[in-house]
Amino acid sequence: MKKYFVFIFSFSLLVFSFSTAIAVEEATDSSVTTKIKERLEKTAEQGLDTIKEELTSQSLAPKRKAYVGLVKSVADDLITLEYKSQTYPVYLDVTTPAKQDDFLLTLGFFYPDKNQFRAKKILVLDTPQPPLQRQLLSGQIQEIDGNKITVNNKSLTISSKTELTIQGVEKPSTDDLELKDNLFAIVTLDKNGDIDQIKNVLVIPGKNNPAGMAPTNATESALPATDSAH
Amino acid sequence: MKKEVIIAIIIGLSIGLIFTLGISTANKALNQQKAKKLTTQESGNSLKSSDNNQQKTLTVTSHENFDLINQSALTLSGIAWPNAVIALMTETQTKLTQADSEGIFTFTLNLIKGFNEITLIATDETNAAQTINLVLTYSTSKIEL
Repeated sequence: MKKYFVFIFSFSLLVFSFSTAIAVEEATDSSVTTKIKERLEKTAEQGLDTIKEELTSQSLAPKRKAYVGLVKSVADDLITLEYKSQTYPVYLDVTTPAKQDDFLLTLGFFYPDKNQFRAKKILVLDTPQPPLQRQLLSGQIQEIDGNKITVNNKSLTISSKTELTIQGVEKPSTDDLELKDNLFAIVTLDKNGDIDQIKNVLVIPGKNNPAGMAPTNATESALPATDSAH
Repeated sequence: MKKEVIIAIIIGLSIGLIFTLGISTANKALNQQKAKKLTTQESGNSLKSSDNNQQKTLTVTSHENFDLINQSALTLSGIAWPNAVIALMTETQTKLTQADSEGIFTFTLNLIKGFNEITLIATDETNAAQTINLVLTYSTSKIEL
């Protein structure tokens, strides 16, 4: 009887070893995968390090810059410029006759490591005139009366000088416009703040416009810019 | 004798099978847990990026403020939000375009000699708007480090 038990035990042990071998094989598979992953991660890390180094050296390289603004203060080797309510220190590598309230254009290099702009060339300019007042108007078309279009209760007259673009229409004209189309317009304003000229108009057709139904790839690639020079 | 051998084989097989099944079940469970972890991480990342997409921001990627450029022809590009309408205004030019489905936009323009004040406005049908003012100087003057 004992003999049989020994036999049974040995046999069980054999089958158990076999099953363990299978389990170990699976484990080996996963450990190989882990090793491959680790190797890949290492390689990627090394590549990333190289890219990081290159980017760091690039970001620390001096950059060609040109600062503009009104002179607020002048010292031996430093001028402070003010432009649109912000001040910019300009370190001088050249001599300049610039004095307070001069409007300067300074050409030089910005050193990111020192966070310093050093001017190599300085030009004294006439103080620029205030720019032409312009505005971007947008809204749904409320009314169309020939070339007159009402958007946000504002009347816009589209002239031959207006660059008109209607999404999905090759040769657009005001005839292609429909109520509830979305209109975006760059306008110039006169001294009183009223609309003087309409420079550019971009229309995205609404539900009423058949052009809106036509397939367009505007969502896949940027629409060509409408252009208007003064 | 035969009977005992058969019993031994059956018991052995049963024990072996129990162990094999146990180990393979444990392995499967571990793998599933790993997969779940990865999926959670990925969905977390995608949530973050979609959150970012919902933010309506305007960035110029091609140039920085006060850049000094030695050629007049310029391609200005950046990122707003999907299908945003972008207006560009310089002293001499105005342009309108629509960003693509990823919010990327491009303008080609010619700079005038000297400094150019450029205003970019991104907007859409909801009247959300973002503005960037940029000064780019076009000069062929040679400056050296």
